[in-house]
Amino acid sequence: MFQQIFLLILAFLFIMPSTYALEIEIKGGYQSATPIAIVPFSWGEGQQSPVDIAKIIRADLSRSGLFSPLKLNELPERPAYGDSIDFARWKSTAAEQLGVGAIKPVGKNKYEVTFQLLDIFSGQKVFSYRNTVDGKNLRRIAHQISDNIYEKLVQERGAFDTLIAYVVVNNNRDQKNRTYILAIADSDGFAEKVILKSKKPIMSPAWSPNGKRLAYVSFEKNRSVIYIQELKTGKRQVIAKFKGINSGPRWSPDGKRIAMTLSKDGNSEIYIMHLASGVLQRITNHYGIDTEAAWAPNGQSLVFTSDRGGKPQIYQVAVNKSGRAGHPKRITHEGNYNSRASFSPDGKELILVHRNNGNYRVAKLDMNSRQLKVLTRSKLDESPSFAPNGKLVLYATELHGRGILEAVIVDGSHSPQRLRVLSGDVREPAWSPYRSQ
Amino acid sequence: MYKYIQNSTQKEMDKNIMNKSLNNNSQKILLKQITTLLMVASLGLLTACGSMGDTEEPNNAAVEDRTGNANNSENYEGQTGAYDGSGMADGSSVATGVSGDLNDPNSPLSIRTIYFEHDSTQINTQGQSALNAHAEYLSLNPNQHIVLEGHTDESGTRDYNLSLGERRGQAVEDFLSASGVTSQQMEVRSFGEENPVSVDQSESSRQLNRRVELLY
Repeated sequence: MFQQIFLLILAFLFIMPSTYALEIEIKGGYQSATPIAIVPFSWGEGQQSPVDIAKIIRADLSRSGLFSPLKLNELPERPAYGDSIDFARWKSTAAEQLGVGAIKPVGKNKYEVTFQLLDIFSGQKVFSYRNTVDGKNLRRIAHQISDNIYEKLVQERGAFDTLIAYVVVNNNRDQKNRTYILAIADSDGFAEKVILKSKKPIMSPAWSPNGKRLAYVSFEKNRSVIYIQELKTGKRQVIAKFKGINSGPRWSPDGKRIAMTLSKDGNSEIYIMHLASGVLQRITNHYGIDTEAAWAPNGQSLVFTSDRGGKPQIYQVAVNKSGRAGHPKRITHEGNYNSRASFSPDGKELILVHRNNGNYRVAKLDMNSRQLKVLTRSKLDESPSFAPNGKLVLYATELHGRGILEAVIVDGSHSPQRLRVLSGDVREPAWSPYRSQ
Repeated sequence: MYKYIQNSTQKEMDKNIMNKSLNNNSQKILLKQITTLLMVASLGLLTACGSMGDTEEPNNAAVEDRTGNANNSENYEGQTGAYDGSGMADGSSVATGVSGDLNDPNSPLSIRTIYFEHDSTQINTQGQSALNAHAEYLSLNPNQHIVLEGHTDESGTRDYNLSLGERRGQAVEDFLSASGVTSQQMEVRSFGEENPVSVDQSESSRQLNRRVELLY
């Protein structure tokens, strides 16, 4: 029982909000984006708003690259409900759709949120939304409304109501005083929560498919060890602490297995650990470096990085549940450094790190045509991670020698959006799967 | 491995038992008490955690070890003092005086870092002469243990660099082994690019980061 009490106290520790909020900075606009108006939400009884929901929605929609929300001074009026709109005034704006909403306090720290999206030309309602929530969930409601707008207008699932995990290094320039934080935040970088603090490096956060656990590598015992941590309770367990390297954990789509790199048998090889039994299945067997495994969405193959051909390239290997692995086939041929691949959610593309003239950039590889397209422009872009809807890729890069996160739209030539951390160097982003409601 | 499977099965069973028992009334009452305790505790924490600049140790009381090759009750706090990240051990652990003194700044044994070219695991002649001195010392002091800690520069991906760092450590291990040092005396560890000496992105800085540290 004391252990349980302790775990619950730990849980409180782990959900303490921090002050390291990431801040989104959108560089430049998107020319092909659809203009849309999101009116500031009205407030009951002249109260101060705890959260500016409309502002969060506008930022979400901007980030998608598909919408350009009107500025506040471009709004001809500020209605709160669908039946109080003067559509004639809205037709003179650039907007095609109009979103209006209200927040009403309905109890202690309880709010009723309503929202309607209307088509300006027809005056028809596109959808309406109503929910009653705690104050702490208002940001999440904003992201859910953004998802609804995205889904209705783009006909594809939105990924605003998701989380990102990442590592922050503080005092990076001072080798003896570096500290490391593993954190999660909303997809827009707000509402950061610290998952782990350490004086030693932390690497490779990986989300379980149900979004409830993170696997990661921590050097807190002065060498690489793979942990799994439950986000809600903070409870964690060591899953791999073998001699040598224990790195790159990646959950299988069914959540029952974790692919990882272990060097316990002499050099880096890919293994799959079956979580219920702890049984290890060795996937590769080569004197070259084999590492950075990632699952195909159907769970039937892995891609990984290997320098068995001299330089790091991406290979694919079939795996089945009974422990048999096929013969790895090389799938990248352009350039002499391709590494850290991961599949798009539909399995049709890989996102990877590609070296070009000494620069490391995020590139996508079409699995059918094997065509490679470079998506980013900096010197050291790494750790790319798909949004669960496959539309955006989040990655780590450097700006003036400092680690930052950027997101780039996969299909398009837009400039990246920067997620700036207010202190420290950020790295190793991992986008969560969709969240359950 | 067999032991490991047994362990984890036992843990799974324990977990199930724990979950089931939470349905008991007595447990519910206890849970209420815990909640009260938590309120009090969290108040304390709110005060204690005011400054985010402080770094706490990750608390590992909740850590289960499923690999079966380590002590379950390992204490992280107890381990942090062992290594200060400087790459220079204080040399206090051994004082045999046989063929060189680890504390003598003029001895080749004072060279504790071997540097590498970009994407290379080759030990240059300077590194070799330092390693020859260490090999001799280690051979004459068979109870002396050494950690060979491999590091890389920032270019390339992190996980790949972790493996590259290990390869550098193994290159040093192979060199020492060929000169008579036993495998029991040596342990290779890799930090990849995660623990750079210098982060200013110049080539001279990257050069300092591509290294194996000899930690006595």
